[in-house]
Amino acid sequence: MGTLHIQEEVIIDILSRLSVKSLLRFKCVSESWNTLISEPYFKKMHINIHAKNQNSQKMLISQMSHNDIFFTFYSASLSSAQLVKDIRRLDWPSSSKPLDGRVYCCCDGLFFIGIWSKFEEQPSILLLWNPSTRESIILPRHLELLPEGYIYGMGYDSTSDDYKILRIDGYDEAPDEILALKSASWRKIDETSGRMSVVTISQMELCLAFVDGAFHWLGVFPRSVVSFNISNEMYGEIPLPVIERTSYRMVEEGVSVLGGRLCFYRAHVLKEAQPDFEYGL
Amino acid sequence: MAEASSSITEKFFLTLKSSDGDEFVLEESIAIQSITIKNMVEDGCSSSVIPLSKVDTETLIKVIEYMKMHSSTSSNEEEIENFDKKFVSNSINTILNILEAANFLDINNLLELCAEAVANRIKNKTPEAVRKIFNITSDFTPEEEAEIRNETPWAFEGNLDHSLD
Repeated sequence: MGTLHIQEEVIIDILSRLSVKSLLRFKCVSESWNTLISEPYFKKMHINIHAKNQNSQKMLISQMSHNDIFFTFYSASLSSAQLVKDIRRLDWPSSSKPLDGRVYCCCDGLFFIGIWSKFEEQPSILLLWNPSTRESIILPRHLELLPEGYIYGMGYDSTSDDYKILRIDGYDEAPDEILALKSASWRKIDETSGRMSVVTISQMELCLAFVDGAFHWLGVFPRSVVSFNISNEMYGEIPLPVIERTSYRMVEEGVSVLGGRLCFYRAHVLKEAQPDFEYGL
Repeated sequence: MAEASSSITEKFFLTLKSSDGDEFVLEESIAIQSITIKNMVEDGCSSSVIPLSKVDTETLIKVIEYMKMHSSTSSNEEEIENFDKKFVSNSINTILNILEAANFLDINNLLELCAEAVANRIKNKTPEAVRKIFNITSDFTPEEEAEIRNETPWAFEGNLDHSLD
């Protein structure tokens, strides 16, 4: 055993298959393992490998506890074999116990959440939380606070190597605000008024659809899919075909991500949403 | 296995030499699963013995066993699956040696199989056990190590595996 000397590329191959918990433990194996595991290059490779691996995928479940008045997040594995047994309660990102919480959007295992420690309209804090490493950072307050009706999207911008969060106002009154994590402050987008279409956000939509480096949502007058490029921060519009109304029943329309592609869906209310057709970009 | 004499004449054979000096004769079609060997064959350097100075006899026997199973047209999927399962039940030290050899010989399937097996074996181990398995001497002072442990104490909780295999 004494002569064994494993090459670094082999070590990287082995370590990239491990869970975050194992990696954090193995940081104290040696200086070189610690450096390697902490390297941004390694972290990105780890994300990419596990994003494709079904066994690594987890879902976050938020639930009001029956035993106390506090709010809890659980994580559960997405692979059906582990669905039941792997549920575990996650630690809270902040020290104070919150009354309510809401997940706005997520990207690469990072969750953008609002936490209420008082019963009021606005969340007490906005957090970016990584449940795998249990790290969280408090995000700055918005420039303009909005009542209900806003929607967020989060995505990775490879041009600036940064994550960005976009908030749009469902009532189209306030300018869109964007937060680049490295800059640590919200910024109003002046061109918001230059958007042609009016925002229409379906109640079924939880967050903005992020595909091919752009956020997407549905606009009317003219009827289109509005896009916002995360790198150059420019708006774009994709015209949508007019669909003849066959009945006077209410329809719910929106855009979402399906199999890595942008899809447009249209469903009669009270019926399950079914994508009518895919809209490839 | 008896083979028709007509097919033997069509087969090419290579001689692989381990770091211990042992020679192994192998069908070329089996050996070229290794991209390193395939490149040597294409460059015309395979007429004589191919020296594998980084692979010892014990490891080379295992690698040849693997390549034979994975190239043979007679072995079906189930056979291969059972073979792989048994293959990775070797000692972790043996698998690490095979992994090094697979990296040098550039046999992608074997590399994948062994890397996944090692990851599975070490995932619940203590840092001390991992150090011994990988033959690493810690270069941290006790204070530095304590500091890393204190950053994420929860990563050290649970039923950790102290064994070296």
